[in-house]
Amino acid sequence: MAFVEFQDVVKEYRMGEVTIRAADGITFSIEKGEFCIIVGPSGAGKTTVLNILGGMDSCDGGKIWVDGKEVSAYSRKELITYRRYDIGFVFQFYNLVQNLTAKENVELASQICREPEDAEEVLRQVGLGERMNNFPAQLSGGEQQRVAIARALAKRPKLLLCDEPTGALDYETGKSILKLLQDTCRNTGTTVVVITHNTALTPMADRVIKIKNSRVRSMEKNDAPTPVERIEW
Amino acid sequence: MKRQRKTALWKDAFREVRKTKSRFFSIFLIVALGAGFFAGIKATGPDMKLTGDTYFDAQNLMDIKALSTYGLNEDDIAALEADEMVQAVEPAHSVDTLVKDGEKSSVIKVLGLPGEEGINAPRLMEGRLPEAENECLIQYGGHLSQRLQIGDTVTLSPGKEGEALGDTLRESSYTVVGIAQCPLYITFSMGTTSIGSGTVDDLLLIPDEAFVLDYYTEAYLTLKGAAELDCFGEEYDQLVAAAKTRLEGVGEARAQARYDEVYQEAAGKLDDAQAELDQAKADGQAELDAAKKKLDSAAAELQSAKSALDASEKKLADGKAQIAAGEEAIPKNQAAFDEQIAASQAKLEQSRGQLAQLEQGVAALQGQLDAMGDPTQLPPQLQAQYQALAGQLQGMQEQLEGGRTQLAQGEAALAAAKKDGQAQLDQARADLTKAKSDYQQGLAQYQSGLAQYQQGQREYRSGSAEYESAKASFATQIAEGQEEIDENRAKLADIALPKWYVNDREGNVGYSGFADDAERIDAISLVFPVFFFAVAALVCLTTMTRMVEEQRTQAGTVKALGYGSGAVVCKYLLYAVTAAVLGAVFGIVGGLILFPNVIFNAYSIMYRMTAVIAPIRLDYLLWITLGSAACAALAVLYACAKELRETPSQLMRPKAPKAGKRVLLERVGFVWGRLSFIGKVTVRNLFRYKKRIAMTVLGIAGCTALMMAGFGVKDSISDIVSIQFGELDVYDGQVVFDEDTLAEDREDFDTLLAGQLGLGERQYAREKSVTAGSESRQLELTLVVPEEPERLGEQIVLRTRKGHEPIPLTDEGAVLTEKAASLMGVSAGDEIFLVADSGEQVPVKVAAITENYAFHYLYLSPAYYRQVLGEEMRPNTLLLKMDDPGQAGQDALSEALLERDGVLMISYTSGIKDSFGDTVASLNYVVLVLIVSAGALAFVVLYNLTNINVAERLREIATIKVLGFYDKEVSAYIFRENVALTLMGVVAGLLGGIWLHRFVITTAEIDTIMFGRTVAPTSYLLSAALTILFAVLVNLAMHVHLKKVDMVESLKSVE
Repeated sequence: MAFVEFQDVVKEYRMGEVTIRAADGITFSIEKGEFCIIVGPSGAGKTTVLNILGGMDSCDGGKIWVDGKEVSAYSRKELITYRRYDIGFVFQFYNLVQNLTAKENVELASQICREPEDAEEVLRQVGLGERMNNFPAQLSGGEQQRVAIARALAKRPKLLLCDEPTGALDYETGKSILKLLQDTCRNTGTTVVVITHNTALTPMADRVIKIKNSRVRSMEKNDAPTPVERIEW
Repeated sequence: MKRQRKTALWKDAFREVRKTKSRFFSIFLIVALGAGFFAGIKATGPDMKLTGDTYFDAQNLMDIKALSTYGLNEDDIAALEADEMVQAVEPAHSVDTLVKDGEKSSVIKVLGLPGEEGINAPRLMEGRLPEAENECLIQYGGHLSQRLQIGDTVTLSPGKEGEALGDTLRESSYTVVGIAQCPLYITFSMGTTSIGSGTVDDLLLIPDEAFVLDYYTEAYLTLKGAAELDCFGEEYDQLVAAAKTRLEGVGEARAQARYDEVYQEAAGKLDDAQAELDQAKADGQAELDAAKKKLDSAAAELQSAKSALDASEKKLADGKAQIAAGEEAIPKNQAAFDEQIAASQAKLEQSRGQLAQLEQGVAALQGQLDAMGDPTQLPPQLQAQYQALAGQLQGMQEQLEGGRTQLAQGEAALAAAKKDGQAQLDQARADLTKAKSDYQQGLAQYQSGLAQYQQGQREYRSGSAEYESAKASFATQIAEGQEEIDENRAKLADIALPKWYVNDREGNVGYSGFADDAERIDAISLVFPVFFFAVAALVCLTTMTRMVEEQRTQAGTVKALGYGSGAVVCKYLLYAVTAAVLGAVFGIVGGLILFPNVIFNAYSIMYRMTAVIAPIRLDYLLWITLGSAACAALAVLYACAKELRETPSQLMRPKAPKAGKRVLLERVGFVWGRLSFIGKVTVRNLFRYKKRIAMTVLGIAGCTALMMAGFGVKDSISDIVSIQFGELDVYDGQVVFDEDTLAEDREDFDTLLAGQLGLGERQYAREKSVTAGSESRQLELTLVVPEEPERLGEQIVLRTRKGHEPIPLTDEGAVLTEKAASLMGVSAGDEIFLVADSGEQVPVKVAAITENYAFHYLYLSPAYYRQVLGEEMRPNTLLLKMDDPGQAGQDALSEALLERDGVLMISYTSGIKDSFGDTVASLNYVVLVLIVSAGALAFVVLYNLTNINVAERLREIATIKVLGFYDKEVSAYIFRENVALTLMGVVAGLLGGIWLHRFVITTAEIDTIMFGRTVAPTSYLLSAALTILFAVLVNLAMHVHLKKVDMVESLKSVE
């Protein structure tokens, strides 16, 4: 069994009298240590996939396994524990706590983990060794996203989920963030899942899952990913 | 066009309401709470007064009560009726009697039911009004109603031994036919009396015809135009004051007239009595005189009888003697007669012899002469001799002739004497015989006369004795009668001028207490509701600020579309004002119904009245709603002010999240280093949203302060009871004497008291109400002059409030109670003045100020009293401690003392304590209302602010949830701040509470009372604990809310 397994996952949202099927039998798998990009247009259902995979939401049908455990069967509490120890999350808008310094934002995550990385060390790894005592408002977008990544990594997650990590960044900064993510994947062996609508990024992934109309349209394995530096969009 | 535009905005506004129900509701709720409390508490005082006024008007409660020490007669009533301010006069009767229930007897005041004027009409609760003279009403909820039912009979006994009930009342037993409230007695305290325990326990209402008194004991008056006025209002007071002055004038005139009448009548009676007595005296004297005369004549008769008797006795004795003499004399006389005869014969013989001699002589001589011849021839010398011899012869012849005659005569005489003597003797013998029989007859007569005389004498003696005793008793009778008349005449001078008392309703203890209570609620309504309103306005502001901030993008868009700032503000105004107006109307209507009812209900423990009349006061509704709307509008304007200055483009860009900042505490490495990570986050967050923190702290502080003030007010009032009667006035009872009687019978009383079991330390004192004042203020206070000031501590403790230092009562100056001192604005060492009986103001030095909570007192040592007032202290009061200050001990003492003349009143501190206790109990409800309301407010404030806190940080919360914080950890992340804020609020609230409490009690305090100034530690604890409890409840509610926060929020872009 693959590290991450989605089998016929169904998710429905009831909006008044209308029922929207946001995931309509999604099936895919991701291997451990892979850099995976899930791509699709807005409203295709990729965020639903991310929510369910990240334990922020539960599915209405199908099964999900992560690292051999059936996440789809988790209770609410188990889901939290799952998020806490297994998942690292990088948001499009960084979601840093404004009132905490970079280091403290990392600590916010590391404080609740069993074997966290040293906050300062992680921040140095993401290249913010000098700015760890700055507040988010004092940092640029890229720097803030780095803090967010550091915060996710400090937990030593099994799975690093990134939701449009470059969506709010300019091109260069976006690239450097993607580089950081790719490097992290390579260097730490963390499984990284990036969700984006930008198909131009797909060459850098080990695996690309394309989603459209709430279904998986294709899943490709890329045996020779392109380094981020060489990707243009 | 314009219309359409507006429509869209209105639609938006109303959709907004639907969309943000909870926010709308929270404004609605807080305004409802604030406005409702404000209106409710504010209306309670007026509602209480309205209820009272309506009730009093419905029962036609008297405005004035007139009474006189002489009672009132028809003329008095007519005089009252004649006054132009008087609407109606209801003459009435009342008497205090005893009703025995087994061993116990209670004092029952019997009142005559009103007649045609219907003044003080009872409010019938059950049954019917009495129709017959032996029917009665008992008081609703009274002492008697606990054991009597309609149909039962109650039997009255006279109040004092030796008095007859029949003098006052026609019947002594009455059948209960109904239960009613008497508007004259709205409290359970019905005043004092001079009989029984000294306290009136209950009322009995009987038909006025059942009284047999020939005067009225009182008259109740209503005044023209008074019923239309609010009896608690200024105008009514003025009307009554004016009428009182007039009627006092009437009273004085009538008192004089009545005095004259009574004096005349008494004097006339005395004159009549004197005349009668004089007549009786004259008649009696005449009778006596007649008797005396009769006696005297009887005596005279007796006397004459006696003398007659004596005479006859003497006569008898004479007779007897004569008889005896006769018997003796007769033989003697016979012998003497015989002898005499013999002697006479012998004499005759002798005479014959002599005659024979003489004849010889003559013959001799003749011979001589013849011898001589013719004498003519004889010489001269012989002639002469012859001559002489012739003469001699002649003489001798004559002698012889005489002797012969004599002899013849003697012989005849002898014969006659012989014959005579014999006859005489015979006669004597016959006489003697007659005398003897006469004597016998006389003796018999005498003896019967004597017996008669003796009888008469006896009769006379008894008659005389009778007369003497009659005379003596008459004399004493007359003397007694005279004495009586004289005594009464002396008493005539003692007839006092009757004194009239013209009292208004303030003289009624219950009535003035009710007015005071209403005033007290008014005073509370000055502070508490305003506070509520302020907190509500604050919450409103915070909420609206949040809303405006949330929607800045939208506002920017609307502005960018070309709407003016007004249009943007309009929406928020509409939103907030709608919520506020709806909340205010809802709250005010609810508050106007709820609070007066709850508070009045609390007071109904103390007052017998109708249910509260709590109208929806439209004026309140209008202006409080307007006020709330204005507050909400101001809050919106304030919240919008900043946004409106910004350009649409600025608005449309998301507002930069508030930058994190280092807080001052971080510089204090020592503290900061010790804080846990979460602690640091909390501290930093706390200082991040200063405005919200300020609001939260203020809101919580406000609630804590409100509760603390509530508890504190309760403490303060309880202090009056516990400290005043527990620590300061340690005496248990007070006996008031007539000072003259006490001065005379002091030893008697001492003996009596010494014999009374269970009495502790006691001493005499003088207590007197006086007017005292300083430059700023005059007060009525009670002068207390203990006989032995050094022992005063055994009855009354003088001490400083702070530190409880004992204060000695010296001869250097007086000790003044604290409230009086503060009202007069004086402190120790200052001088005040007393108004002496003469009206003169005498200066008094205040040596110290003593702790005291109820009424005003000025303590003086006897020496200082003398120095100040220039008179000796005359005690009129006994302050005493009792081993058993309970009912049994009181009854025993009352019974022993009240019988005595000169004992005017006995009062027990337990009685005062109880009545204060009732006040405290009812205030407890008011305080409870305050606390519950403050608690509700605290809850709403906390909930609202926490809600805002959560809403503002939704993204942050979603993020940490994504990071894998458990629900508890998420809650803790937020709640740590709440806890810190709550704690800060509590501390601030406790500090504010001290101030608020002080403010409330000084505002709510009436002049004669000083509330305790300190708040009990438990009150601090309780208000803090309750606030924390509310905070915990809010946090529990929030925990549920937080669980529901959707993590998807974290993925959304910043709006």
